[in-house]
Amino acid sequence: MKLNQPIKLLRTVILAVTITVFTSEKSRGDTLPVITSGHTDVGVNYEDDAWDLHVHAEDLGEEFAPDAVWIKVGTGARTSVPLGEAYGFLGTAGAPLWVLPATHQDGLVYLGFGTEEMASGIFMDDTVNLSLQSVEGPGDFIVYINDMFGNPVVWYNSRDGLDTNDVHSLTAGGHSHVNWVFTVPGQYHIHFQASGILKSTGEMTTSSVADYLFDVGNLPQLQLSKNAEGLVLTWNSETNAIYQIQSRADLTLSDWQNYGNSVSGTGGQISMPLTNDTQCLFFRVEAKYLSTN
Amino acid sequence: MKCYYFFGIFLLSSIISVSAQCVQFTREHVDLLSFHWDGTNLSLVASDDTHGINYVSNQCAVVCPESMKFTLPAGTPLGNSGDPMWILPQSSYAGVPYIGISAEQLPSGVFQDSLLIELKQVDGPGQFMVWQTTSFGDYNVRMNTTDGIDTNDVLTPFVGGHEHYNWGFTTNGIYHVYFQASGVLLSDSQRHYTPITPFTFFVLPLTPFEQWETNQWGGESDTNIIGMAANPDLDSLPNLLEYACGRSPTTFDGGSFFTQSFITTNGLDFGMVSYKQSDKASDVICEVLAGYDLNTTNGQLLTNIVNTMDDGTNTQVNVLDFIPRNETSQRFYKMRVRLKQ
Repeated sequence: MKLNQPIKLLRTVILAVTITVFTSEKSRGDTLPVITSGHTDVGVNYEDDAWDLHVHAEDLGEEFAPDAVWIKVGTGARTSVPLGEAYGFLGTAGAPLWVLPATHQDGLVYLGFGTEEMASGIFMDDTVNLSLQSVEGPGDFIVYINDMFGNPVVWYNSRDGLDTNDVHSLTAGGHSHVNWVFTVPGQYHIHFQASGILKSTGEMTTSSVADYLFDVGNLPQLQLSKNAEGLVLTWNSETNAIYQIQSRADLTLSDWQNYGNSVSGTGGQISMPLTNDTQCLFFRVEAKYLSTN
Repeated sequence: MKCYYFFGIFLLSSIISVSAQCVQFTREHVDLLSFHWDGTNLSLVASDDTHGINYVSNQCAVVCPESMKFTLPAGTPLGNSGDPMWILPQSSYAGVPYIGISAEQLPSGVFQDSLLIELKQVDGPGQFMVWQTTSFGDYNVRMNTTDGIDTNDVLTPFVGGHEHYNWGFTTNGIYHVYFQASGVLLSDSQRHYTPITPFTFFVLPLTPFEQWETNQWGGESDTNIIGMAANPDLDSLPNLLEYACGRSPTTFDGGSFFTQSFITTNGLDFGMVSYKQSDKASDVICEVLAGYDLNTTNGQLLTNIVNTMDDGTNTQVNVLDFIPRNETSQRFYKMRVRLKQ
């Protein structure tokens, strides 16, 4: 690596089971506020003849437009698909998942759906439908609840495509806590659309598509520094994960090659000295998330 | 012959203000056990999130509909496979109360994050349980009266937090469930307690008598008011007798519940006791007992019902003694009222 040339770094996460590659990019909305914990609702309201889909942060006492705030799915949300046929809809047993649970877990956003602001009598049967229109992100998105005996009941699941099954009814004045599942860390844009039949006219009214933002997990951030011995790559790590630095000389003409040996995550910073300083190299880090089962 | 009239059991009670005002939660999102701090005292109130109203515990009741009666599957810690269980679920069901707990009303920076809600007592026809199932179906049982009630029967909410649980009942009926909440103040590091506070659940279907109780007192739990032998209106008629004869237990309207007369048969006079039973009180049994002295524990049950007349509201029953009147002995009659088992 020539020191007088700019060092170009990329970071990439490759998941062990899904083999989905995510390349981090500068995302739109990186300067938006982030909700990291507390009771929060994806709010659906209809008032003054207009839809109002929003994010209601109960603890902050604030409402945000859907695309005006990131909802953080912290590293504490990381888990794995459990054994058993009942949870096959989440993926292969052992595959990594990031789940905001339907039960309150300290340090995670306790996220629900809220129609509490919606007055009774506006819609037929006081019911509106909320459909999942599309998912933009590195992985799949699933919403489900557990019944009183623990059986999962799926509301939305992009793993099997999005269709008329990815619609759920919400009742005016209601409130629900659900499990929010992401299969790959990274940033997601989840697009919901509400609709309902107005009681006054019998006509269907449909909201515009709302863009909800989720920032999932804690992707390793490669950093380059220089000490007395030379250049060092460092990145943040998680336990139960294996990291492999990869490099290539050209972003388009050469293949990624492993650079050094893989390293087990410690939950802290990992450093790797660079030994090859003879050329300009691009680096990325591959993370394999191991089963937590 | 002298006849004395006794009405069941008497219970002296202090004068208690009786209020039938009661909100029944049938489909709302309610944080039933909500911490409330007024700067001096901690209390538990029911917070109706749907309508944004707080209720004192005896002014509200939660209705668990018959549609939420389930059969336990195999492998749960809740009971045997096949056992019935009425459940108010942790996930929202349309048309069913969605019952949670909350410390959202506590001001921040006042309490340590060591809040407790302890189960203290359950008055009801069955067992009471509180549990969550996790994202992957594991059970987290937090309260369960089948093994008694102790310090393990506790919920631990976060300051500013909010949670939903499954609330289970092993049979239908009225349950008065007593909780005590507490929290440690940051200012004095002392644990402060709420009063032991009863919350009422109507697990459907109710018996006619339970429905009558519900209509009279709503979510009241005080046994000096709602007990079968209580006499809150101080009119000498205990509640069960008020129910049996279709009178109000909250209005002083005392007086004889039954009358005595004589019927002459073959030249002999037989005592006859007449009473009216409310047609609505279909689950109550009224019996007339006869004896030679007041101290006779039970007396003899009179079974010779000679006439009944139903006017559409009440049924008049005439019961004949089997011992004729004579000049040398006394007969005492008393009424025994009890619920059918």
